[in-house]
Amino acid sequence: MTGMTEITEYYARQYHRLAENLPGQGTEWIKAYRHSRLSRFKTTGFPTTREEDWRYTSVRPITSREFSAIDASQPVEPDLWNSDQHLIEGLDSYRLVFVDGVLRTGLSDISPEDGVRVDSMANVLNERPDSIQHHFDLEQTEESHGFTELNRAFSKDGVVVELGSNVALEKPIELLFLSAGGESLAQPRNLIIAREGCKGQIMERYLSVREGASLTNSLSEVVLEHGAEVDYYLIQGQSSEACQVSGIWATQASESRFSCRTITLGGALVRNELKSRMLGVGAHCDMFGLYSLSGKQHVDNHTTMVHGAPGCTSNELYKGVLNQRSRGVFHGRIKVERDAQKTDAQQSNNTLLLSRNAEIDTKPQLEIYADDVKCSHGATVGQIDDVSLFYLRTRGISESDARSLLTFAFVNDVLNEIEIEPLKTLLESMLSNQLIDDQ
Amino acid sequence: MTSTEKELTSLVQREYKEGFVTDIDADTLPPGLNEDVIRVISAKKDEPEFLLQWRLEAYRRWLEMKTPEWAHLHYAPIDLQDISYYSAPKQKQLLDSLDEVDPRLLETYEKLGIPVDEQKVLAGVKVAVDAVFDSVSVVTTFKKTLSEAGVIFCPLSEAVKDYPELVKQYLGSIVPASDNYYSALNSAVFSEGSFVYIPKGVRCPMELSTYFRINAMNTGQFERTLIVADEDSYVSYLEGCTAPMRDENQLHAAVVELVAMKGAEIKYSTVQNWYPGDEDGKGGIYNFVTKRGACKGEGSKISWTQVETGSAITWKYPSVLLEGDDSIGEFYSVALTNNCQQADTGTKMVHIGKNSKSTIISKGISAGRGQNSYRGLVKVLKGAENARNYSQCDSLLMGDKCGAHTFPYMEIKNPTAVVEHEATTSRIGEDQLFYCRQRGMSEEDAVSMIVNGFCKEVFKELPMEFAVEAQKLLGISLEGSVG
Amino acid sequence: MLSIKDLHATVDGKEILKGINLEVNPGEIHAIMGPNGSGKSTLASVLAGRDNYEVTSGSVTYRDQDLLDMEPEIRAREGVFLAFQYPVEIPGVTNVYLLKAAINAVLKHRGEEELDAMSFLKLIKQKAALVEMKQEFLYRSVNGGFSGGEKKRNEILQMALLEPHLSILDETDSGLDIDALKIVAHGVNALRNDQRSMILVTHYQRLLDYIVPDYVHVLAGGVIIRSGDKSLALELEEKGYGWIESQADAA
Repeated sequence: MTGMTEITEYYARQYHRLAENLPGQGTEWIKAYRHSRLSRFKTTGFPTTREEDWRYTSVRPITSREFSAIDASQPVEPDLWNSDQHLIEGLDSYRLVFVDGVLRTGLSDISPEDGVRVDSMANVLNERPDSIQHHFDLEQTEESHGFTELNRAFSKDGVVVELGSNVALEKPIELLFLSAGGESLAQPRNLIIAREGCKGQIMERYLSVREGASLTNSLSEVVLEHGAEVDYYLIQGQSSEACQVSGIWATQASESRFSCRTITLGGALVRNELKSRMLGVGAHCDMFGLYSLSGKQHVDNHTTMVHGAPGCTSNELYKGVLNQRSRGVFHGRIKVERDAQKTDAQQSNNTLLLSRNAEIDTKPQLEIYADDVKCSHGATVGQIDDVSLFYLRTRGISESDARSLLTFAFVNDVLNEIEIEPLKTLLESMLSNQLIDDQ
Repeated sequence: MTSTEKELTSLVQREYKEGFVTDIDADTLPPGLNEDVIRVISAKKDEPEFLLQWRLEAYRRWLEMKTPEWAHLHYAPIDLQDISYYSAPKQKQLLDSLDEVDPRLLETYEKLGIPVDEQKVLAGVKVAVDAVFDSVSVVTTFKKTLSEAGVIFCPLSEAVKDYPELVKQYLGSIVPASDNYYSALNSAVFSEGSFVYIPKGVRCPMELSTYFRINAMNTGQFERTLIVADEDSYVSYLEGCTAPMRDENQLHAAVVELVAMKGAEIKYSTVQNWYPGDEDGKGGIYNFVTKRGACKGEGSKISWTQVETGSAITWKYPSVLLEGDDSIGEFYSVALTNNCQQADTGTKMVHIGKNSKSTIISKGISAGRGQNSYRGLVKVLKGAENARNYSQCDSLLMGDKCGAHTFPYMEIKNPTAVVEHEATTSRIGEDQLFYCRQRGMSEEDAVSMIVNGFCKEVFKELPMEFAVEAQKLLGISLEGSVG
Repeated sequence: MLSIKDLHATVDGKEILKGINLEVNPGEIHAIMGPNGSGKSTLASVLAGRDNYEVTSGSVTYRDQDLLDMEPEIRAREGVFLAFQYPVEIPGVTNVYLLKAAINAVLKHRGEEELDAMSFLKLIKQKAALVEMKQEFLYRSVNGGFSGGEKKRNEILQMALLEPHLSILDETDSGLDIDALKIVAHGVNALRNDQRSMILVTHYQRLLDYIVPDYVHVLAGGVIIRSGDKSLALELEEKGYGWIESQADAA
């Protein structure tokens, strides 16, 4: 299958086959909603490199295959789950495990503290759809593309989290998404509602548990009310055959604080779309990213910070280490709307190119319509500093150790932003193993 | 709104002193574009057949192309059938001396302060001038002095006849006709421009300059400049542009091609002061320009410096193809948008040769309702070992209705490259203004001083006589922006 | 300990060292003095094995081995220590991490047991006291935000920890005020014994008031033009480099 039209048709047929059994399909507005999303998907199709936002990322690895949603009525095969491998050592969390995008309650722990409500998206759509209807109504279509619409049209499951007013979550909520390979399609859709003054950590983690291609097309919406503070983690460690398109879209009310860390170590083709719309006075958003790639990995981080109200601040730092034939893409857009005076927005993207065949395309953007602002962006592409390398060698450290040490040091300021210690420890050891392997 | 902001918003009473019209009989083609028009232009210029065919080929390619829409610009579509593609003041075809030039034309240049008389000097320096009025060159000065040095400096229409081989070899070699919509249009209908050839080892004895003047109504200007610097030569070239104040928009779609051979250096400076339109955005020039240079040989250098204060719309990306090893590309730009002006300008630096270096310094100033975008590409190809780029893009905002945007692209395919990009956006601080005023300066002088300081890195790249003009121009363009 | 014979070296194709001869025996301290651009720092860099410094002829024997044949880290593990004129800042790598990695690399090379965290910390505390370095500096990134004097003290701390056979101090005195100079000299003198050799590269005599050398050599134009004892340094201080260069030219 090669043509765009054919592959679009393929998913449309799959939708029609599955539609009847999708959660909440009995509710009229949901049915209509899905239908309109599908028709929009059919019009837009998958994005191509002719579109400015996709000029450096071809989705051929996705469109050249036929991925299909799994039948969730079957129980999870016992050999799929291995807690030693799949859990983060020492991490105490409220954990929800999804296999190919469908929540598996047997592997999960949905019993958090008072004031916090965690439910599967399927349950919410079936049992209390009206509670989330207005979030669906508010959706904007102008910035969506084929993947967004595909997810909206036939996502089967995901999670709805509501952090009540002034709740301080004691443990992180960990959403663990496992891909079982076999050209499976997982389309989780998550909604996180952080009520006034609450505080919590939420982690999305993606792993492959079997060999073989898979497509994860996820969409998470995070709504932060006045003064809410959410620390968000997107941890990607899928196999070298897995493709992933991830959206994390935040809407921030006044004085809220959204902080997202994206760590990408695995995956064949990964596209991350992080957006924050700061609509209330004095909101703050951080986006920290780290990608360490090898083989033929292609990772595209696409971020948007919209300063839509006065006095908002944002800080963005992405660091990349590119080995072998890997390719990194960074697109960082900062938009300061007309009324957003006293904006402070800083962004930087630094890349280490460690191999002859690695490539980076970076495209920071500032769009500024207010005058009392302090905005800056910086981008650098370079190599390991020779002088530092020599210095370390004169202290008796071997060249290869010195190289990994300096590479590690390069990404250290992003790692230091990780406030969940067991996760940080795990990532540090994964990174150092990877750096050693690459030499 | 604070008092300073109020003062900043009253930025409107700009005077465009070059906005007069010269009353002269002109031979102007009726509006419209088709193959016949192209044949007429070619015939009027008495061109060889190869050039006519080249124009027609470009026209056919153009018919298949679409207007580019990716720039951060908003304007009503231009009706290209409503424009005249040729207009020339009526006078004898070939002029032997300045005495034969229509005095009204000479007066025009006099009024613009451009020395078309060899006895006159510009800011104390002798400069060779090619004065282009609508579709034709009126006069070229210092031809004799230059030819003694072996330098060819003449209108392109003359070069086509006198040096057909050189023109044939280089025309369209850097900017192919099919490069983009406007370059294709230009290739089909280009009317005039300058041709420069600097032979091997020659350092051009004086600054060369071309002054472009749009005068006629409803006329587009499509000039085309070609500069070839042979091995180890040097030339500094200046370009200036003005147009009358008119209520309708006028199109200017130029192409400039630079060729630098081994060890050669070309310094190309522009002060663009086309009519920007009035404070409500009525009228003004639509300036769609393709400028590109190729550093063909080892150790060659091309340096673009531009001060863009005019035009309603500016769409312009002077670029350098760094083909030679150790070649150097530079881009220094000041772009100012006031009132309803919009600019989308920047550069492309394509690193192909080893050890090639590029520097980009861009200063954008937005005032009134102006929208100013920097758009740039730094591309390092696989074979470009040890390529180096440094880019700095700063924006200054004056008033709360303007916009400043930065769209840099970096595509790096060689791991030995070091590429750095920095961008900042800020405004003139009230504390800075207050400080200056407390020291006795008027607010307007203080703004002018701060803006000039902001642009200093670019102005210092301009030839002396241009730098003075550029500073004055910036002052005039910002007039009324405060107090 | 070290034997340099007719050493010629170029940097970017330009010959800087034009035939250096120098013998350093165990326990000796040699001061190498000379005007700017004479090749002092080049000699230090060549001995440490820096890239871009190409040895075109001559030999350097260190403890019966060909020094020039060794990688920089092997030289370090074999006991050659260079205190940098401009110590490098390495953001993201903590000082303590570097020190531990370095000492363990040396110990492992010698076939000795690597230090565990506890014994390392004990050792480093003791060495830090020697150069009066506060604990907090150990946990900052390598030389990150250190003052000039703190960077130089950090170099001496590394030297004290690694206990090299041959230390090359490249303009360690430059940029130091008198108090910092005394601290540095104290650290260096504490390491002095009859087995350890040192080469002090310096522009000024001042350092030699605190670290007294056995020999003084004057380097100019890439060769040693005069050697003597510490009185030569005093004579130089008094008469300036012009004096000795003109003498050399006359000869």
